[in-house]
Parts: sequence; C-alpha cells; structure tokens
Amino acid sequence: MSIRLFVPEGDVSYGLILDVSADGQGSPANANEFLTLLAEAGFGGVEILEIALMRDWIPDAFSPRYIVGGATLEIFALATPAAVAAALGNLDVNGGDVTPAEDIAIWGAGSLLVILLNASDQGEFQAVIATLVGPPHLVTTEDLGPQPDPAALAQTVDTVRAALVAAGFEVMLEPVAVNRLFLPSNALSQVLSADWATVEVYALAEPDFQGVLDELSSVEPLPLREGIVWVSGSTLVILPASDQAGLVPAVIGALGTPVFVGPEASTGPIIVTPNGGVCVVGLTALVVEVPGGFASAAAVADAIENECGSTVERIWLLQGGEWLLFVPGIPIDFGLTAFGPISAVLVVLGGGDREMLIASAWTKAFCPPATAATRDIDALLLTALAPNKVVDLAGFGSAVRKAAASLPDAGAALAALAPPDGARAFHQAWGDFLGDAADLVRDSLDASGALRRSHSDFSTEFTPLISAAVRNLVALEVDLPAGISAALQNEPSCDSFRVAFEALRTTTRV
Amino acid sequence: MRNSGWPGRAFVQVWRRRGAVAAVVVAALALVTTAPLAPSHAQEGDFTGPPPATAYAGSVTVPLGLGTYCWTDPGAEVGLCADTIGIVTDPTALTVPVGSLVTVAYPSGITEAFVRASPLPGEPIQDDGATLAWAPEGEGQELAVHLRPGAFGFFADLAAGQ
Repeated sequence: MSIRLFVPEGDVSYGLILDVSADGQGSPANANEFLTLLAEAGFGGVEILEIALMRDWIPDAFSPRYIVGGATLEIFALATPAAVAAALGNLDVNGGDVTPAEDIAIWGAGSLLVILLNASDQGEFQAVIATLVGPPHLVTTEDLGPQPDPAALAQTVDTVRAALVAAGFEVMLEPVAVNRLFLPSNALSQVLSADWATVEVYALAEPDFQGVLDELSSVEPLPLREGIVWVSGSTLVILPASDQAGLVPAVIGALGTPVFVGPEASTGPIIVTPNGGVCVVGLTALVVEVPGGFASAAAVADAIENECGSTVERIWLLQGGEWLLFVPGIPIDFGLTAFGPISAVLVVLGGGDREMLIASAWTKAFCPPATAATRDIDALLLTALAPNKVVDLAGFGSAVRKAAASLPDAGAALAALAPPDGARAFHQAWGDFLGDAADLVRDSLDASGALRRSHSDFSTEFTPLISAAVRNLVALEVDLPAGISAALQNEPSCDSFRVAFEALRTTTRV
Repeated sequence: MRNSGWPGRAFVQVWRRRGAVAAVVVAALALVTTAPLAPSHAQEGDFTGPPPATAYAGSVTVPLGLGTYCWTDPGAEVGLCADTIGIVTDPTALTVPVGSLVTVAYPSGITEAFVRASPLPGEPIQDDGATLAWAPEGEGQELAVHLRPGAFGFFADLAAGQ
C-alpha cells in the first residue's frame, strides 16, 4: 500500500503492508471480548445502565445496556453467525417487517450483534467499532423533525426589501448568517442592510412565537431593549437597534403591527397632552402622540412621567372594544405593549393614598379575602385578561375550573365580613364582582367540567365585569390611613390588599 | 545538486541513500533524474526530513516506511527531494478484518492524502532487514480517505488477502 501525503512542508510517500483478513475472522466471541477490544482501543470504563433488555427482532438473546466512553451500546451474543444474519433479516431494509429505531448503528460481527445508540453523536466511536469488526451493517438517521422553510424566509425577505426600497432606502443582502439565543438553533436567517441600518429576518420550523415573546419580555438582561419584532407566517423580522427607527414605518406598512417593542424602542419624540391641560394625580385622561408613528409602552410611560411629574402606575387603552393594560415595572403582558401615532388613554398617576388604593384595585380588586383562592383567581385573570396572547387552552380551562371552585368560597368569605360604613361601597363593588365572576365561570363549564366557552367568548363577557368593578372602585371616596396606604404602596399584592381591606373594615374613619 | 525548478520553492535536488535500497529511479516521479547516488547531504547540518508516521487499527500500531519525498524543514530556506527504489514499508504488516478503518497519525498538518492499495508482490525488490522495498505491478486501487487534524483514515475496503 502506498500513501502519499501533502503537507505545508512538502509531500511525502510512505508504505504499509496491510494484511486484510477474511470477513468475520477474529471477531470477538462474546461481549466481554468486544469490550476488551474497545478498552484496548482507548474506550474503557464500562458502566451497565440496564441489566438486560430484549429487542423483538433479535430472538433468544438479551443484552445489558452499556455506557462505554460516553457511548451507549448493546451487545447481543447469539448462538451462531447464521442467527445474527437471520436477525438482521428481520429488518425492513433486508426485507423483514421491523423498522429499526432512529439514530442507531448496527454491526453483525461473527455471532455478535452490536448496536450503538445515538449514532449521530458518536462518529469517532463508530469508527473505532468499524476498526474492530468492520463497517456497520446499518446506520439509521435521526428524524430531526420539521425544518425551517427557506421559501418562507425568501418571501419575507423580498417583502421587507421591497417595502424598504419603496421607502427610498438602498437595500443590500448581507452574506452572513446570524442567530439569537432566544431563537431555535436551526432557525434560518438573512440580514438586510438598509442605508446605515440592518434588518434581521428569521424562518422558524415550528414557530413558538409566544415563547419567544415571553423570553424577550422576561429574561434579564432583556435581549432587545431597543429592538422591534414582527411576525409574518413562520418568519420573524427584527430591527435590533433604536437608530433604525426610520425603517419602522416601511416595515409596519409591509408586515403590520409589531408583536414586540423593546422598552427603549421609539421612533421619535412622544408628545403627551393631558385632558384640560393638567395632569391629575389618580385617574386621568391623556392623549399620546408619536409623530414618528411608533413607541413602546414603557417609553410612553416615561414620557407621561416627565410631562406630569408623577409616577405612572397603570396605563389603560381601549382598543377594538378591549381594555389593554400596561403596568410599568411588571414583566407581564397585559396586552398593551406599543403605541401608534395617536392614542387616548386612561392613566393612573401615583402620588396620593386614594390613588394607590385605586391603582391596586384595578388589578387586585378581584382578590378575595380568602387567601386560599387568590392564586386560582390570579391565574384566571392572567389568562382571561390576555386577549392578544396565544392562550394555552389547557391552562385556561384549568384556571376556569379552579376559579369556579374558589369564587363561591371567596364570595362567602367576603359576605361574612361586616364592613364599616365607610367601606360599604368598596365591599359592595367587590362582592358584585365576585358574584358575577362566579356565575360566569360556573356557566362556562358543563356538568363534566369541560369548557363551554371559547377563550375569546369568555374574555368578551369577563371584561365588562372587570370594567364595572373598576368603575365602582374608582367611585370610592375613601380616605385611607397612612399605614394602609404604605402597605399597598410597598407591595400591591392580593395579600396587602386584603390587609388593607381588613383595616378598612375595622376603621371608622371615612 | 541541482535546482528542482519547482515554482515558488527553492528546493535542492539531491540523491539520498535510504538504508540499503538500491538507487533505481521510480519512473512515476515527476523529478526523474539519472544523477548518480551521492552521499547524503541531507543528513548533514540541521535538516531533519519528513517526520516518521504510523498507522493503527484498533490497538495495533505499525510504523510506515518512508519513501519518495520533497521536504523543506519549517523555517529553512532550502529543502530536499529524495527518490526511493519503490514503495518502502516496515516489515511488520498491519492485520485487520475486511472493512476496518485504518488511521494514519501524522505530526504535521496534512492538506491532502492519497492511498493506493496493490496486491503484494511475492518478494520485495529489496530487504535490508529494517525496511522492505516493493515494486507492485499496475497502479493499484485508490481508497477514499477521511482527513482530520493530525491524522487521516481510510477503510480497508478490500478483499481478504490484500
């Protein structure tokens, strides 16, 4: 045998006498011999994962499952090489009716049948076994599942490019592939450059856009603080930095409203105009204008705080018949993430005891005095008040069922409390809500506990109940003691709200 | 000595005796010369020549015989080309089952590798006790090789007996 190598220093010829023995000759006779050969080849340290397992296409034999050098092996010792051949004949590739498992390699060596699991990760190990007993009889591949669609990627790239070109940008396709940690590793990508800015386009195999958006909103540090994200079919379009604001209107024109806006993303100055020209601490109405066409809810909250000199506790926007909420500092998507060119909003501004009560009441009025039920009702609210989110229907159904069980108890617990005169309206508003909510969730389940209402139908009916409760609570004229306000301000949770209620119940001051 | 004339390289062509191998020129080599054997200038000074290489399959390793080469030591300005009488091998055969993977370990960066297998002639054309030189008939069968850093491998995908 002549071997010729080219290396940076030159080229060299070497010679070797290779004595190729007959097939099967010298094959190990049993598993121990095979494992000994592996150990001699540098793969020792055998662990036994399972004592004995059988495969239905290998009759009259069993094998432990071995872990050798990080690889998982099965070694079946059959009576004769003919028995090995017969077993291999059971495989569909050999005319049998057994389809071998995915991602394995199978060797027949004398009277041994060797199976390497996770073969795709064990290339070196596979080569070593081939050295010992020859090439594998069969290697099956792993089913990688659905893959991203290059055509979808190309289509979205074309759409975005056409929109940007029409808007006067000089657009280039960049010869790079990129990915981001919050996207699947097999995502396809294309990068466009438009003047000074870049646009990333990704195609996903099985898009879990909700999971992506959840991660964008909750992971610290936030991956796209200045970024804006659109979804189009199975593709995702990202403008990663705020200095790309000039591209936003063109991309909105092509792909519609973004699904995510980073907290520091904005297309330009934000103009806040309070109704009547004055910011009122507590519930107040404002007009928000974004001449550039687009701003994140967080950027709008900052602009309102600058304009009014008060902290923003809540922003409510009525859109398409649904109230969308943004709560600064809380990483929960209540539906309001971004503002268009002009919006009229209701804002709860911080600064007063009564307002703090109201601020808590907007989201926490539903908390019953019985703490055992609060978590169930929180879950119901989170699913029911998320009209723009992709809802986990199993989770939604579970939340409704739990709330159906909890709300009557909560109502009964509330009824058992005798409110002082000053808290009667508060008590009444809360009780009305609990009663209506209990009726709704009960009516949403059939006798077997299955859902009778879709998520959207439930939200449609649930929202007016909340709105009514909020209206009633806003109408309260309660002057809370400072200690109660502090409790609400520090931790506006169900529990602190309940503490406040208990305090209200025992105070005589109105 | 004479210049090899290879573009871009300053090789110096010399004849080098390797063991007791007779000075018969390998006809296939590009740099054929009929210059007589000369004492090995290559072994003077710091010239080290191509590194030794080994082949292994499983737990068995055998040295490879050094044959024809052109070589420049890293950092050196001149190199050396040397021809051998035939395919030089170690006397020890590497015995493997059909279909085995044979790996060649090599200390320098391999950019290309070619392997040809030929039936072993009955007798070597030279035997100095330490190495054998062979002159198989025909060009033999080229085997596919798989390069990886520091080594390459090929399958002994040959009929038994070769």
